[in-house]
Amino acid sequence: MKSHKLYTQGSHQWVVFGRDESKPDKIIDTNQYLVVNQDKAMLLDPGGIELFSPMLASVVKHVSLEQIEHLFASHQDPDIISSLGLWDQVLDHATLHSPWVWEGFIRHFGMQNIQYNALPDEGAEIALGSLKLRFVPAHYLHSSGNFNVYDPVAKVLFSGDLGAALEAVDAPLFVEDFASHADKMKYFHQRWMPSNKAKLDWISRVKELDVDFMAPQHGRIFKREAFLEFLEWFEKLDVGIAVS
Amino acid sequence: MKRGQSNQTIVAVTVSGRLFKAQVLARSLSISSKNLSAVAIRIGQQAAGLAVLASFYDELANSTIQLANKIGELTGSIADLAVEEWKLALLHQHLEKVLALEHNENTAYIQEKHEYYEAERNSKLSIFNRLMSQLELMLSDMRRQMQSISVIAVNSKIEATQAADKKELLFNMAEDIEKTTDSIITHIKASQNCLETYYSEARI
Repeated sequence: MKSHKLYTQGSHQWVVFGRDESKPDKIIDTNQYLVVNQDKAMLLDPGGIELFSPMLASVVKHVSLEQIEHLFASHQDPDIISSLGLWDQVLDHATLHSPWVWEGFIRHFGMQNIQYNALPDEGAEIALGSLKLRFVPAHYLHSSGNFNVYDPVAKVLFSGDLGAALEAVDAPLFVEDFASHADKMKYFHQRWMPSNKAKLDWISRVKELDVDFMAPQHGRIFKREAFLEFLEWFEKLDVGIAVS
Repeated sequence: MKRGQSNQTIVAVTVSGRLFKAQVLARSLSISSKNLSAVAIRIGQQAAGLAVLASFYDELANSTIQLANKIGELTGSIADLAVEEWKLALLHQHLEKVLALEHNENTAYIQEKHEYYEAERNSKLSIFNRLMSQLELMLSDMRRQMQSISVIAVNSKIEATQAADKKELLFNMAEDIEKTTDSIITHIKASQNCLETYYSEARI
C-alpha cells in the first residue's frame, strides 16, 4: 500500500494511504487518511478487513500504535470500517467517532476495547493534540448518517464518498484535469447519492470553508481549484437517478 | 472463516442439530414407555415382565433426555469457542503479514500483540480440545444407553408374544419403541461420524 504526505507543518501531518496493488481484484480501491498533531493520531475511514495488514504495516511507518487514540468512520459501509474488529484488538485506548445512527450497526464489526463516540446530527469538534478537527454533517451523501472531517489549519476537507471515483490502483493521486475526471465521478454520484436537497445543503455549507485539499475516500484528491470546480459541477448534477 | 475454525463450528452445530432431534425422539420414547407400562399393568400377571421392562425404558429415555440437554449446552460452548478462536486466528494471520511487511521501532508493539494473541489462541484451542473430548464421551454414553434399550426392546417383543390378551397391541408398542430407539441411535452415530470426519480432516 502506498502512502503520501499530503500536508506537513511541524508535528502536524496528513497522510493518505491507498493505491494498494496487493488488494484482491474485486474489491474497490480506497483511500485511508492519518491525521497527526503533536503526539496524537487519528485514522479516518480506516478501511475494510481485507486491507488491515497492508494498512497497519503502512501506518506504523508514520506513527506508533500507542499514538492512535482516535478512529473516525464517516458512515457504516464495509469498505470504511469492517476492519474495526481487528483494530479493536491492537489499539488499547482508542475512541471511534461515528454517526449516532450507526452505533448499533457498526458494533457488529466487533468492539470490545474501543469506545464509541456517537456524533450528533449537527456535528461536533474534537481536539487532536493542539488541533481542533470539525466533524461536518454530510447526511444522505450517501449514507443517511454521514460526516466529513475539516481541518481548518491544514485546510483539508476529508469528504468521504463526495468526490469519489472508482478507479484503477495505478490512477494518479490528484485531479489534474477536472473536465476529464468528472466523467469518472458522474455515475457514482448520480447513483449512490440519493438527495438533491442534501446535496445543495452540503454545497452551501462547504463553500464557506477554506479548502486547499478535498480528500475523498475513493479516487483522486482535489486541490483548491478542482474543489471549486467540483462544487459547481455537483450543484448541477441530478442525483438519485435509480428512481425516476 | 478459515477451514479449521469453520469445521469446528460446523461440527458443533451439526451435533447440536442431530441431538435436538434425538431428544425429541427420546421424549416420545418416554411417553411410549409409560403407555406400555400402563397397558401391561392393566393386563396383569401375563404382562408383568413387560411392565418391568417398560420402567427401564422410561428411566433410560429420561436419562437420554438429560444427556442430550447437557450435550446441547456443550455444543453451544464449542461453537462459541470456535468463533472466538477464528477471530484470534484471523488477527494472528494479519499481524504475521504486518510483521513480514514492516520492521521498525513501531513494530515491536505489534510483535508483543502477536505473541499475546498466539498464547490466547493456544489456550482457547486447549479448552476446545477438552470440550470435544467431553462431547465424544457423552455421545458414547448416550449410544450405550440406547443400545441397552434396543436389547430390551427385542426382549419386550418376545414377552409380548407370551401374553394371552392384547398380544398384537403389546408387540406393536414394543416394536415402536425399538424403531424409535434405532432412530435415536442413527442420530448419535451420525454425530459420532461427524466428529470422526472432523478429526481425520484436522489430521490432514
